[in-house]
Amino acid sequence: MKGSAEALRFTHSYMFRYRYRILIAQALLLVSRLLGIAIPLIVRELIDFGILHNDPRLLLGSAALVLLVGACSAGLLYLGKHIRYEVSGRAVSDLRHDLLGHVLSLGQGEADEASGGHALTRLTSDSAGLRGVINGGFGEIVNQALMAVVLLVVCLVLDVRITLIALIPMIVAAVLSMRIQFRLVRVFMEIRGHFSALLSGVVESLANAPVIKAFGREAHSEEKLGGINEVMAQRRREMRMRHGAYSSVTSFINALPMPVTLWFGARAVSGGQISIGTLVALFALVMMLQMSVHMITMDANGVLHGMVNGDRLLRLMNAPPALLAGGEGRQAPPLTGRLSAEGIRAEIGGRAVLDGVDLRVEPGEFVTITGPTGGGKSVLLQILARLSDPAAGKVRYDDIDAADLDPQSLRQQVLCLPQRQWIFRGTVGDNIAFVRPDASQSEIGAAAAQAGIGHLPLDRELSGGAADLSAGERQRVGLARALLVSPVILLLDNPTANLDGETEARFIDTLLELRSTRTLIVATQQPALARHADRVVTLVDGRISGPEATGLIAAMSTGRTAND
Amino acid sequence: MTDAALPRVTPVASDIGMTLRTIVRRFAPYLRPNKVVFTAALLTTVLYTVLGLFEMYTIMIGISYIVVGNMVAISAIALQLVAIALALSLLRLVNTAVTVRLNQRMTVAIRQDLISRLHRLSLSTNGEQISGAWMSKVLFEADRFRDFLTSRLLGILHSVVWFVAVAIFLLSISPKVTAPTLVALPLMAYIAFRRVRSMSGEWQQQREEWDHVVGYLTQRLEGTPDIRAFGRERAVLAEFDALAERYRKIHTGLAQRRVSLASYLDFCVYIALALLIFFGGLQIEHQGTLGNSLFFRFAAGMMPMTWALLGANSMMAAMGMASGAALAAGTLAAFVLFTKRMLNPVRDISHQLGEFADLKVSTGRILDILDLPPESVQGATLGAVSGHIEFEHVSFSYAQGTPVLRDISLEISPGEHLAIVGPTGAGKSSLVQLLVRYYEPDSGTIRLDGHDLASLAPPSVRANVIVVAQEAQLFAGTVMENIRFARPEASDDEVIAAARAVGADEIISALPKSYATQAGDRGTRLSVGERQLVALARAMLADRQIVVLDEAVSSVDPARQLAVLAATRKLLAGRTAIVVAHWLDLVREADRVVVLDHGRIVQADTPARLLAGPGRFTELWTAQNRPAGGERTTSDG
Repeated sequence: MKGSAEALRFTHSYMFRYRYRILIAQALLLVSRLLGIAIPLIVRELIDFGILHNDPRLLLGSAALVLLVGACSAGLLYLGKHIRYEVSGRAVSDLRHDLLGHVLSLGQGEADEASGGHALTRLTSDSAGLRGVINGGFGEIVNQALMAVVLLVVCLVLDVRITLIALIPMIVAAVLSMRIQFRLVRVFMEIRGHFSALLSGVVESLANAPVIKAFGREAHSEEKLGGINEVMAQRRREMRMRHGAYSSVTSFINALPMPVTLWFGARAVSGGQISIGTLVALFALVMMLQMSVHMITMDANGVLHGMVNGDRLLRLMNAPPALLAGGEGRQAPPLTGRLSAEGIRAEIGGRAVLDGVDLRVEPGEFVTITGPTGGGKSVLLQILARLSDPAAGKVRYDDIDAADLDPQSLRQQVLCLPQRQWIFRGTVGDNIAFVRPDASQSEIGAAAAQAGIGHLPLDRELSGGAADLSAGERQRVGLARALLVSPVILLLDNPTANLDGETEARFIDTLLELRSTRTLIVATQQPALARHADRVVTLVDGRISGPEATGLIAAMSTGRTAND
Repeated sequence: MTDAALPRVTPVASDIGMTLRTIVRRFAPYLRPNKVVFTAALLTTVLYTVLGLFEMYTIMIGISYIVVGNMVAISAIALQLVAIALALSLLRLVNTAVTVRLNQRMTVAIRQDLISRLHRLSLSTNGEQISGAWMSKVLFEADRFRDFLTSRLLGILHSVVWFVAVAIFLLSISPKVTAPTLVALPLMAYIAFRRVRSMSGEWQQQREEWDHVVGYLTQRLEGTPDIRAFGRERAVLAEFDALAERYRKIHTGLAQRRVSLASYLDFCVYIALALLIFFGGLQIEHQGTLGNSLFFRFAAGMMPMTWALLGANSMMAAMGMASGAALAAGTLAAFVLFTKRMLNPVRDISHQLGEFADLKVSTGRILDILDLPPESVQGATLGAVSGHIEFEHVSFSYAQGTPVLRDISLEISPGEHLAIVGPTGAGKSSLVQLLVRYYEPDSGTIRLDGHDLASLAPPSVRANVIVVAQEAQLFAGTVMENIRFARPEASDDEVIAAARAVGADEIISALPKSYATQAGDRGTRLSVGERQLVALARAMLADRQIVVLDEAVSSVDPARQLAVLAATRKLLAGRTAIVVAHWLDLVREADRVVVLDHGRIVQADTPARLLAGPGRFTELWTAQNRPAGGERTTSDG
């Protein structure tokens, strides 16, 4: 329940930003609806005095009044909804902006909620749920409730007995509807989860298609996703069926006020207690009241669904960002390239990856970080570049605490190139310039040439996933990106893992050219690269250990002796 | 920048009927097995509509009886209303049951076909045409399609039946008065159609803008690590905001236009009501017989036309004119009561037709995927092979004009351990991908145990050859589940044995929950090296006669790489093995090394002989093992 309240608070905070406009829309819509109450009353006068008492002037007057009321009501309805749609569209955009911003702040592998399909469902369909919350939701419930109260008062004034009798089935139907909706909200939540899982599964299958084919497991994957599909459809069907069964009962109960009003009304008319006009008006008003009560239950359902969506969104928003300190630090001053780390600790998925790492790197120094697989090299690089914050410890650039600096301003000077380069569909030039869209063609060309992909035409179209680029070329697109930014501290994660000797040698040459002007920190397992470093730091089990003690150096030596 | 996710949208043809025919033709196979359910859905919808009309008619009569004060008749009417309500709710229950069933069956079937097609595409299609974004959109489309089936299709039927029922009803009461009304109905339909057509372009545009948003999101979500690394978050957000803003504008605009239509129709109800009050009232006052003055004759002639144009309320007008004052008063009252309900079908049908444009886009996309050619599973089935491979003048390119492999001829004997080396981009990975028929060569022949690969069914080829790629692709799930993916029936012990055999057991055991550790979405919770070891263990569990390791452990530390390969070699004794590697230490134990450069084989011999003489291999070796040099040679490491 606490979670639900939080989810509601979260979604409504976006609505609250536009509270004045929403209030205006509310007021307009309420007046538009209240005006509708006038029509049965006009018809009452018309029947009792105009038609039954032969007063043609009243006919014309009533017709004109109805037109006037209609024009006002329709106009206000239009204005009110116009404003509401405007506001809900903006609020959804705001929400999506915040969601994407948060997703981009999350560390890798930490938040399953933020992975591929899950994040996509939240950014698209779950967030669209906010529209329903604003256009329906509490605002509409309040309006309909006010409308119901006014209708009830008018009905009671017209005839207490008929109103009260007609009210009984209405309340019973409303209570029943609410009951089933409360019950089904859990199923609705489950279905949303299934959909999200299905989407994730499809995205995963597409990404892993080669593996699925390699093991001939197409049928298995199909079955797995098909299973989710079946279960989801089954649950949806159950939900619909239960809802259908209930609503056929409630619709029967809801139909009862009509014959009840008709019968009791007819008796009252024949007994002379009320006029025919009053009965017709009462009839119309009871139906309107019924509609209002029905709408309240519908909108309550909307709120429940909004709560489910809100809860899903909140789970994503509550995933802790990679950077613990807020993003709004001060702008990074020009840095010299000095970097120090003290007592760095980090864990991923409950597993301690770094356990008290100290490191000091001087401007212009070329340091390689080596160590066995799973030793924490990549995580350390991420922390050194302030892509994520450590659980404990501090990183400083020129003795400035990294946590005090605005991360985005830092990226122009401290850059960590991931091991796997992201290639999106577009030209080679687009892919390089994504890091600095203002770069000129010649700058892009120069970066590409320096990174060793000068032979690729900048306007060559790459497919998403870049099946047509070799691993080395991919790596070099990444390097070209880095060169275009030209940071003072450049961190590279295993950049030559997939390069052949010659390409690696050329890559190293490029790095060696770079090091005169900047600090280089490279995580690597390649002996060739480590050999060129000013210093080799070895990371074993999350701690820096003496270089000579490691198996890696032994392996490097064998490599070297074999050659020498 | 081109957007990967830009869908190939079939343009909204101006001819709705044409596309509708296509939709019906293509989706009929899904409907056919559900004929009974579909018929039941149609039938109950029709019955429901007719009964609804009857309910309104009964209330009209009831009010008329009140006017004349017939209590016995009123009691009967009240009971009749209860009976109708009961019948309506029963019918509603049946209708829900059949539509839900129809819905579920068809969506499940369509989605299942989409999923199935996705798994049966050849990799070349996959890379070129399908992005995750596109596919996920299609899943959304299937949902839209479902909504269309239940709410729109049956909704349109409801509206149409409503119109037809009203027409028959009116004709039975007064053919003379009704005739002009019926002429007006097609006119109304035309006006509704025109209005919808004017919006259909915007529907289409809205969908396109939405696709841009989804496409952009999917791509950027994939690139999150890079976006963060380069500090491009704000730029990405700004780009996203711009796209979202464009979508918001068109979406809001369309919603507002729909509201304007709804408000206009609302106002029409009031106009109709005002006219009815005036003309209907006049008639009742004159006991149904209007005077002979020109004004009254004009009024009488105009009424059905007016109602028809305003929204099919000619029934009321016709009833008012045909019967006496009592019935007319009832009509008037009923009209006040039911205006909304009467006009809803008019409003709905225009909405429903509007969404037809949307449906065309949805179905078009579903068909785009279903029509992609699946990878052929035709061909001879291959039994167990000895592992003899021949490449004969094989050439290959991903894109025309940029050859990746040129005239490769190579024979690999059963049980041979062959290494393929060469500079980046030489075509090493492409060569091994041809071997499992992920791609087809442009020319030349590949033979497996003497059988032309092209004549063999790809699944049966893959049952004999396994390629372990450099990029270890894992699934969300535990490490154990990921390894077992290769052979679902394998016991825990077999899985652990496979991991141990390649030297991955030590690394996996060090994970927090050992084999039960969650790998995370696509393995992101493991380091790249760990992922590679898991993938290698998985391949070993598959137990294939031909094993290709394509830079399979390149991200594992060197000491472990050597150990893992040594272990793997032992495991592969007697099997054909191809090792693609750039770290040449790894290939020193191979029986033979093939050096590939610019898509051609430039050298092939034992490693020792290759190293002994000059050539490409020696060059690569020297480059990899050159001592530290350059202007800065100080090293304290």
